[in-house]
Amino acid sequence: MASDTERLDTDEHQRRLATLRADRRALAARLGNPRWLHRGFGTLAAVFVASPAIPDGVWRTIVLLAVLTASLSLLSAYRRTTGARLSRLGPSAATYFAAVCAVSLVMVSVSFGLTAGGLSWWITASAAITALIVERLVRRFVHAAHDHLDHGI
Amino acid sequence: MPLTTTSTMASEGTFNELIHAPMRLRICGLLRSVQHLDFGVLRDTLDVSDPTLSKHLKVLRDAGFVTIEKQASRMRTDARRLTQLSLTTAGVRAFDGHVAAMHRITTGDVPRSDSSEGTPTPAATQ
Repeated sequence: MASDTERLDTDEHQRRLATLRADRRALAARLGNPRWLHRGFGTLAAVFVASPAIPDGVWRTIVLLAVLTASLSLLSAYRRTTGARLSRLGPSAATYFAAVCAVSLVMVSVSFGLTAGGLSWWITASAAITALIVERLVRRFVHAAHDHLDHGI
Repeated sequence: MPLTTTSTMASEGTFNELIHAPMRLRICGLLRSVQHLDFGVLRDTLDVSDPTLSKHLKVLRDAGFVTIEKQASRMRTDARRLTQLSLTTAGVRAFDGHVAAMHRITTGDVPRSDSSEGTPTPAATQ
């Protein structure tokens, strides 16, 4: 049977472990899930998907580079705003990230098909749908990353 | 007899007195879950004053558990710099080992420290 001292020690350790969990939860809540981040990535994904409408050449390359640069800037802005850089996102967030990549690639393929079929204006619809889907996926991605921060370790 | 071990035990689940101090444990816990964290965010999350946090960070830095980097900030118009904090590899290892030891203690799965491990260290109270 545990002595009173050992019992107290165990209780104290449990309290400290509970505090660690509470701190992570507080940090996850503090980081937030800003709408500008979702909309930003949704818009950038839409531009990427609409890029086949631009004739192949230097302008398309410039647009794609701009999308890449803007994506990195958006990510950097989010890190600056929150003051944190997450190290581990967790399997759920990784799945959402993969989904964003997959949706973007599938939709850009659709856009190429539409361009080849002479239906360039329909790329607008393709881009709009992509923006909506990516916006939601990014919101869930951030939520999943914070959830992992809350429950992880 | 209090459950104490030294920080030099070379096994997983090593109890570390330096990290066990409540505030330092919380600092390490938050830094463990991120790659970098701003000083201000850490201070606000822990709800402590700048000097208190600085004091504990200095202890952790001197032990080689935390790195403190100051960076210029485009968001500031004055000369102040952003202070970014992160756990070192040694810090990650020490914290993970310490938490594992605490879990073992709370579940009762503890190899009791015997007299050969040296004098019990008084529990840190800061």
